Amino acid sequence: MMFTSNMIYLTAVVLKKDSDAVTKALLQLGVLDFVRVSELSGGNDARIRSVQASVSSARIIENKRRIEMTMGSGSSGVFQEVLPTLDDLQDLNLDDIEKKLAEIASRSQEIKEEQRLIQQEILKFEDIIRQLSMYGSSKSITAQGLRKSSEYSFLTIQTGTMPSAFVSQFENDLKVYPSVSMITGTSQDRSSMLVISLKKDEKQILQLLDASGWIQGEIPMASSPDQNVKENALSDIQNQIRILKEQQSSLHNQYQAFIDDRLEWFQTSWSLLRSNELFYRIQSFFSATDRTVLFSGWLPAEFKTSLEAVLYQAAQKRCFLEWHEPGEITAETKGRVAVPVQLKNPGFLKPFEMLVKNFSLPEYGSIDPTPFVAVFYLMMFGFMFGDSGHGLVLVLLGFLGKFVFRKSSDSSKKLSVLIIYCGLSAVVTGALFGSYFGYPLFPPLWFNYHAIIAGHSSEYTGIQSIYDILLITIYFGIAVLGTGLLLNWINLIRKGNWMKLLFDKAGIVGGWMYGAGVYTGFYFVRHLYKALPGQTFLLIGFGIPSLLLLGKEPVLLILERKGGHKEQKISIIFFLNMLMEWIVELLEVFSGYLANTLSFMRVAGLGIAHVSLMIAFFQMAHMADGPGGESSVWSYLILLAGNILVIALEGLSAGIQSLRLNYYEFFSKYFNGSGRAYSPVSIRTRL
Amino acid sequence: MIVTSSIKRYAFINAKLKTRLSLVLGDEVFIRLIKSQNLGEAMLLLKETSFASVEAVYARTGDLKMSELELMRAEMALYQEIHRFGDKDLQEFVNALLMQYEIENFKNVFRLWFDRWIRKRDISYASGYILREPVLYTYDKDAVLAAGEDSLLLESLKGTAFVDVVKNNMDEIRTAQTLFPLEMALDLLFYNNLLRQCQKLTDKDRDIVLRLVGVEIDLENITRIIRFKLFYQFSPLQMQKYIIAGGHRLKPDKLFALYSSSGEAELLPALLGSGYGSVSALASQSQTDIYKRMEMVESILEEILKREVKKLLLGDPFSIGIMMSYFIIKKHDIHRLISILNGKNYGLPEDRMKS
Repeated sequence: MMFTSNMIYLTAVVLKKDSDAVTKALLQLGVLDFVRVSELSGGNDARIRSVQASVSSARIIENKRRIEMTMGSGSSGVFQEVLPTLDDLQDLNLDDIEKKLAEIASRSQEIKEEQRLIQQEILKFEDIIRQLSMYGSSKSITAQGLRKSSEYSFLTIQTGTMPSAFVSQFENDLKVYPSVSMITGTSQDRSSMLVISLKKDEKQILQLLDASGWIQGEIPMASSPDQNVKENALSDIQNQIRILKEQQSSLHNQYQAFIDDRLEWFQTSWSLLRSNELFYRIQSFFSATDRTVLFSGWLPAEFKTSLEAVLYQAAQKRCFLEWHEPGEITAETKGRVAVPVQLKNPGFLKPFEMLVKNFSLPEYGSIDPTPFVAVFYLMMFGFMFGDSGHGLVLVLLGFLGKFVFRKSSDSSKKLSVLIIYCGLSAVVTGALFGSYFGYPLFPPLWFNYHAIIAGHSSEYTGIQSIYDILLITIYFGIAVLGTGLLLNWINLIRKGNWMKLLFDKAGIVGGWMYGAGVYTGFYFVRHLYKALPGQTFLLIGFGIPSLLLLGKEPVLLILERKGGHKEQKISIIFFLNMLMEWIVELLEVFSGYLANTLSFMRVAGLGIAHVSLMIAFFQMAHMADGPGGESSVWSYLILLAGNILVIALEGLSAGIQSLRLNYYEFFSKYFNGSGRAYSPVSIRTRL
Repeated sequence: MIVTSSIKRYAFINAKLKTRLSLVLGDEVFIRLIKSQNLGEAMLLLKETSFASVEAVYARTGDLKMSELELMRAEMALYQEIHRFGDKDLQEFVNALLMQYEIENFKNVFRLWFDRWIRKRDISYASGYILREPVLYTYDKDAVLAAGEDSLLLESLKGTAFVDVVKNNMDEIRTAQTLFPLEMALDLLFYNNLLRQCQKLTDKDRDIVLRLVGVEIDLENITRIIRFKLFYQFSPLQMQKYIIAGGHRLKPDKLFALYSSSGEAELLPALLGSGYGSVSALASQSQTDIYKRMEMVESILEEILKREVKKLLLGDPFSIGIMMSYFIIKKHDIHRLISILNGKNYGLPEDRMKS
């Protein structure tokens, strides 16, 4: 947990006939982060060649993607990954899968085509509506007027009579065309009718009418003087459009049901493809001679015994395994083959591990900053967002997020847990400051933040003004930077980089000057900005380390000469360079540390802003109180809106600023983010 | 003062657009779209992109043309959004850019009118694919489609910039039964209006816009000239009628001279050589198939525009350059998407869609 996991390097040789069994064993255990053998040798060993996969990986992946996509179009709306097992690793027949996928695609297109045809019917009906809408006001128009106006539109309107007995059959036959038919009156055994259709269907409609005993003629005015034909027609068309849209929707549901019915096949095929993809991915790292197969890779040292056991078992002990320490490999390959980095933290620290990885991975063998980030991040957040009520809201939001994202990616879940932690931190600091949604419900356990900002007594003698709050954050900053320096020294000692340990800005000399600077700063303030520490202190605190920094280049030169490296000539240029570098480094040390430390005042700044905003909303709510000073609905609403705004704005600001202080102030002291992530191939690897 | 106003004008808009650029479809998505087995699969790929609404329309209707309409709406929404955030001068300029969609939609409406009244075809369902909501002008598209007589047609276009263009071309439309001159005149209307609006911008912005619009005009002119030469065999004088003024490097007199003096094979290298020497080497690749040659021309011109856009994106963050680049990139994305989706719909081979 303190450092990145110890890695070990395996080089293995197995018989070709055992390679499939070995691949399965490697896939099942899933701990090896493969490195091609050619990378070790520099790629120029003619005796070994790559193993050619019998199936195209690209084809496997393409089919897998097609399945994911098609599954996602079912009723669930998303593809849900179910991890395959070794039992899924069967013989793969890509032709069969592609054939089945083509069948599914073809049927899907048939359904889409049906939807498209219905869509065109809808468009035609909508067109009829538009045409009808052009015929004056809906209240005044009559069948005669409608018929007369139709000569300029795409519509054709027939008026006349037909035997009442034929109406039902006619209306049934008419359904294949976008049209409207309406009975406007009945006299004896004949019905007066109005038929609206598109001009392009006129011929067919006339044929239908002829077959139904149609007699063309005006609708008798007496039978429908006030009949609102247009309104009725529009209503009828709307109804037909609604029916068509329902049919379209039903086809969409039919499509989703069609996909859902095949979920089992999709899932089985996906697992088959995924397991084969991983199987061939492992084999793509293999190199071969005529009778043997070679592979190599990194694994956490703790898995050495278990991997050894499964390999011996899979190869029936007909294999040769060689283990190497990371140092040997990096030296042999001159750093070409990097040691992968695995951070190993308990589950509750995973959200903070995510924050570290988001920045970068630490160098192999160095300190894993996760636990430190967890502590500092939460302290900073709590100080900036110190309100138990607001913290509780964050806790609830975090739990809600966990529920909502229960099927989503890991990072969404970790973010939800991080919000819960931040909320808990705010609950604790809120209790310390006695703030519950801005109200002092309980006495503060430490000091009353609100009272200080409002200019009242803080109920704690140690902290009485904003300056005291700022001072706390400066102390905190010094602690964070001091921790960073300490971690840097540990990293450098482990690496045996003594020069850097001594001379680096974040090395002992840098730390020495920072310590002296901190003491001098406080001394200066304590003496009301009028006195500095004695000359002896200044000489020891700043003079000696400054001179040591000046000596850095000559020491390096001597070491280079001793190490037999190319000699740098000692010339006036060398001395000028040395001087310039020294001045720049001194400036960097003084200005850099000062800026780093003062940067932590933002923690107080954000905290003050949080409290100030709440005070402002309380005052606004008070202004909205009733005439007798009683709370009104408006004052409650203002308080509610204020709290929501503060939680949203300040929560985001505090989260970002805490992250910023960790990344740019804390990490800059010791973190070398050059690590490559440990990435083993496993049957349990998620997409 | 100028600096302050340009920061005020562009800080928010450009920050927003720069973020949006991350949502632009990458080449990888286009390759996967091209490789998808059919239109349905291609649409499903869009589900996880910023074009999810297009897939939703297709899932509901199964109709590619309805999805295209959605794409056009999405494209216009980009301009309308910037319009909301811009000040008055910028809004006027954005309107000038939006004019291209108004014109595009009017062309669609007029093509239907032409089909119905000149070619006497049925347009009942096709009229469902025109955009009815107003873009810049409020006019009744259905009244246009229903107008059988010229007077009614012009009456239905009252209040738009299209009245004069239609009036001037009506005789040729009826006699020659072609929309070609009308559509060319509408393109001219767009570019002239855009160049006029440019004059209201600050010097820095005007230079950027003139350069970019000038490049677009150059590319449009090159495409036209090549088509005139290859497909229509226009005389230089006929060609001259349809040339857009305002090009960045290729002025009308130079185009006229090159058109008059070059044969089919030499025209493209000559045009590129005169204005865009850095890509003229691409034009030397011989293509015998006339369509392949046009595809090659289009890809070369696209490359030219890409280079210009890249320069602008790396330039001043508080200028109109970012906005123009964003519009061009998105327009390019949408047009490429439409081409691929149509290619899938008609079962075109992959290599035809790559161009």
